[in-house]
Amino acid sequence: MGEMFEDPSNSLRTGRRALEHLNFCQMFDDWKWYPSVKRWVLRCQVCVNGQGYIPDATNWYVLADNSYPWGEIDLYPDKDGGIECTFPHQAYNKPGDPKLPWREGRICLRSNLASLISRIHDDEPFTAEERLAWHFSRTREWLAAASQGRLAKVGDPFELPDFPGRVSTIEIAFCEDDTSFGFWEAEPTDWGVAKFTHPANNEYVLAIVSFCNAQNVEIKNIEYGDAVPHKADVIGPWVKIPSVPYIEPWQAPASFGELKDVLGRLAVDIEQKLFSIAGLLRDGAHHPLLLGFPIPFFYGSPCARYHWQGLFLPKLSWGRNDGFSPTEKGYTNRDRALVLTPKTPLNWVKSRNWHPSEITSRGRVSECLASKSILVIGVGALGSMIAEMLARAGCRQIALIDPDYLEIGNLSRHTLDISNVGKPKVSTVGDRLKLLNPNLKVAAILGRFPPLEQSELDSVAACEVIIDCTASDKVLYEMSTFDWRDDKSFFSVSVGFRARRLYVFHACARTFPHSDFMDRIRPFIESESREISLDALPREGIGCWNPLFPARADDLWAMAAIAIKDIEELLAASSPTSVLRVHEQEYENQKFIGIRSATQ
Amino acid sequence: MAIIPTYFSDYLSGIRLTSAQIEDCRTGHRTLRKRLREDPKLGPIVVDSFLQGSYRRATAIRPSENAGKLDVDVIVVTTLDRNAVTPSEALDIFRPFLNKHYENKYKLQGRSWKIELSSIELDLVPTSAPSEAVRGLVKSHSVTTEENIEEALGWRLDLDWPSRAKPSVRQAWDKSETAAAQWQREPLWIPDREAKTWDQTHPLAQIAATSEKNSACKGHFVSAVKCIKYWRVTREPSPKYPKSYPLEHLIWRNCPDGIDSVALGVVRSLECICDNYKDFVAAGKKPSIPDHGVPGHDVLSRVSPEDFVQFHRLITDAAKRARRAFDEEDTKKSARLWRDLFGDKFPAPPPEPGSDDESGTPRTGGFTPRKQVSAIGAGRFASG
Repeated sequence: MGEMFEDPSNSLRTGRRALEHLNFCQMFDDWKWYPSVKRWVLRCQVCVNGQGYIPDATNWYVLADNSYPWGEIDLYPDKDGGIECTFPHQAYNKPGDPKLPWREGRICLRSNLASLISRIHDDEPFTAEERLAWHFSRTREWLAAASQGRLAKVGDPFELPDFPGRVSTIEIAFCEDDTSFGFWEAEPTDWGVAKFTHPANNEYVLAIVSFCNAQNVEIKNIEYGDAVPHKADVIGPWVKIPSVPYIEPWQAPASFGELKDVLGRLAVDIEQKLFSIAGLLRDGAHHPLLLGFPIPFFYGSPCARYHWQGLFLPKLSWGRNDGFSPTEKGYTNRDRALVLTPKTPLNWVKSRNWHPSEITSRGRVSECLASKSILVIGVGALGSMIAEMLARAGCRQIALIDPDYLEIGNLSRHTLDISNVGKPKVSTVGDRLKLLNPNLKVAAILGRFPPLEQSELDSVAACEVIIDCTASDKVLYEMSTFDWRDDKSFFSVSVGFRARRLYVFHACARTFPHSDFMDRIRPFIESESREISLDALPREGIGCWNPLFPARADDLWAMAAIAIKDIEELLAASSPTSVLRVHEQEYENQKFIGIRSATQ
Repeated sequence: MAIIPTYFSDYLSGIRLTSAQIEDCRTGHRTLRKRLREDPKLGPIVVDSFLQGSYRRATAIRPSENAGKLDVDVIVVTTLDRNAVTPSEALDIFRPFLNKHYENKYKLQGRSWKIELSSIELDLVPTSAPSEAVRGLVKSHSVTTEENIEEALGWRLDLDWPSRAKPSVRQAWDKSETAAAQWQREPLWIPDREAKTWDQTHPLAQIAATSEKNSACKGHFVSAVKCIKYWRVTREPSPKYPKSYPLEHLIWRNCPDGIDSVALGVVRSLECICDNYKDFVAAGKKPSIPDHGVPGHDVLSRVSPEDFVQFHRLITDAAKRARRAFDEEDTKKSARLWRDLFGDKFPAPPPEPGSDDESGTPRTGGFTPRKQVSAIGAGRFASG
């Protein structure tokens, strides 16, 4: 676009005038527009009581957007007079672009950690006078904490150093919990060959599925859900090391030389291990190298998890090369001389723990629900929504049964899409669920309930939680006569006309208590049937007259979401008597004002 | 001691000429110059023209809304012999040209033609023929450049500017007679129609002296001049004189070299003016101040002794207030004191929390707890 700005705005001027009143901060020049980064840039000095790695005065560049006080504000160390090493809460501090006068080690000022706030907790202000000054006050706090080694304070959530890499789109996935922590701590084998697969054919993710020793004998197999097949698309070396590899104060090794030094200090000879199995990796491809080490959840706490940090090795020598014999020895020599030299930069890869407890942090149902095997009978509109929410929120075993095929008219309130029209709902919903949760296993049964095949009967009877989403009395009858082989937690979820009412029924029993359900729901159904007689039911298409039940996606999603909450709560309560919960939409002067309980 | 440079910087950006005004000055002059050169009658007798005055010396302040248009002085150096041509005749020679290009927009004044353009007024001052040496200098880029002395990096008055650095003008005086050095001794002659005589003026010496001073003050001299001029016009306009160039010259004479901030320049200029003319004022007199290049001219000739005495009183008072503002340790209090002196164009400091200042507390670490949350985002979520 090439936007050029001549003069800083009044807001920017106001912002930097406010810096005059900070006795620890001194400006060198005025705002300058840098077209290459499209930011306004100011160079300043911040003074603290120097100690440790922090001198008394450090120079900084602050970058602001033209929309200040909105937009982004970032602080980077000056190449001249700024910090050169990397600390916690800082991006990897390399010199970066030679045309820019600041290094890349942007400092993180926004975490609400006790170590950064010496006064009462305050949110970032967005007025012209305050925002820039706030960032500088925070920078001073950051520097004071850095100088005293307080950036990572006991009790703060643990953070890994920033491992810089060239390719930001690829991710390595692993699956670690406290059980596997115990395994690794006890396991004497500490290096070998790992096998990776692309989950759901996603070439941007490599999930570790197997750890083998140097003789290619598997010592650990990793189980995810159905989306992560157990086949080896890629292999690479793995090495277990005693602790996080870093250079003081908190800088990731960035070259092979630095890595060797750091690992050497941890008594790990990475070269020896690597070249022992390098023969398996000589195929002209980049293989991932895994470094596994224990980490705590909080600074100062004992280690509790293993983290597998990956990096892509350069292509190891193979084929014919001038000056080197085409033997393992020749290749190794060439690798040492040309490929894995001390100066070779490391290409770290984003590495993430895909264990359910880690990836559902944004929102999960209780373990009580997530750990159960669940059967969803009927994956029409309501059933597909309920199944989707259960899958995303961490449930690990879901079985589905439904005889229907998807029609275009279903789309107004289903979770499937045009590409699935004409296919069985149950298999397409099942496939979709697998993509939502890597740890989920799905069984899809095409047909009416109860199924006929023995294996399908076994699958169904093995489920612990049964959720009926058919709104069919016939199905409820079948549920009351089916041999469930054990006590189950039954739910029946349905909505009333136009999804204005939600009915959630729960019972813990050996079979579904059909008459109990009917008794409880009848008054509501009857009252509703009096209300709807005036409305005409919509039809669809030409042919056999088949009234549709009108309900929009937004009404259904709202009810499905409430149903999830009820299911979670009722399952945990496990009341011996059956329960019917009814929720209904509230209107005032024909305007929607909310959903309230009709049974509490 | 608070110098709050960003406050002064923002104040100056509000009182100096806008970039639109500067562009208008340049365009106005450029057009005039081109037309003069191409005019069949004037072309042969015009050596060149150049911008002078406060625009050129970077001491011009933005005219206030009711002050009318910006005045821009242009010198037109001619080959007219002042012994053969009367001042009136010299001015008259331009009339046909003005009729042709600026019909109904020009007016004859005592020493110049005033040409009214859309946003500025050009003051066209013709001169008689200078010596060959000065003629050469007048045509050089250092004279005819449209940049003012603040913009023109490393400006100096000689034939070779802007080539590699040369000795300063003062050092050049010490050298033997060179073409460039001769200009010092040679003012230009301009017509005084009413007095029917040719008068001396030395705009080049004024420009050069200002440039030297500004360099010696790390660029802060012209800023201090603008601050004081604007204060005089907007806050203490009475008595009418001295203002404009005489005021600027007084500051030139009294501002010490080596100042390292605008704030210090303002304080010291005011204090020195106050101190150096105390005795004159006590005797009810005014000093006589020789102008650059024309020592016979008294810069204060138009100022009556009574006016000067009154003026001196204003300066004395302002000097005290400026000193208080400058010496104040608390940067916010200092900003407020400067603003009391200069007025609303000087930025206000951010408000204090609560009504009382914390006594005995030096400038704080910067975070002040706010009564209301002006931030958003802390309690709202939609994605992730």
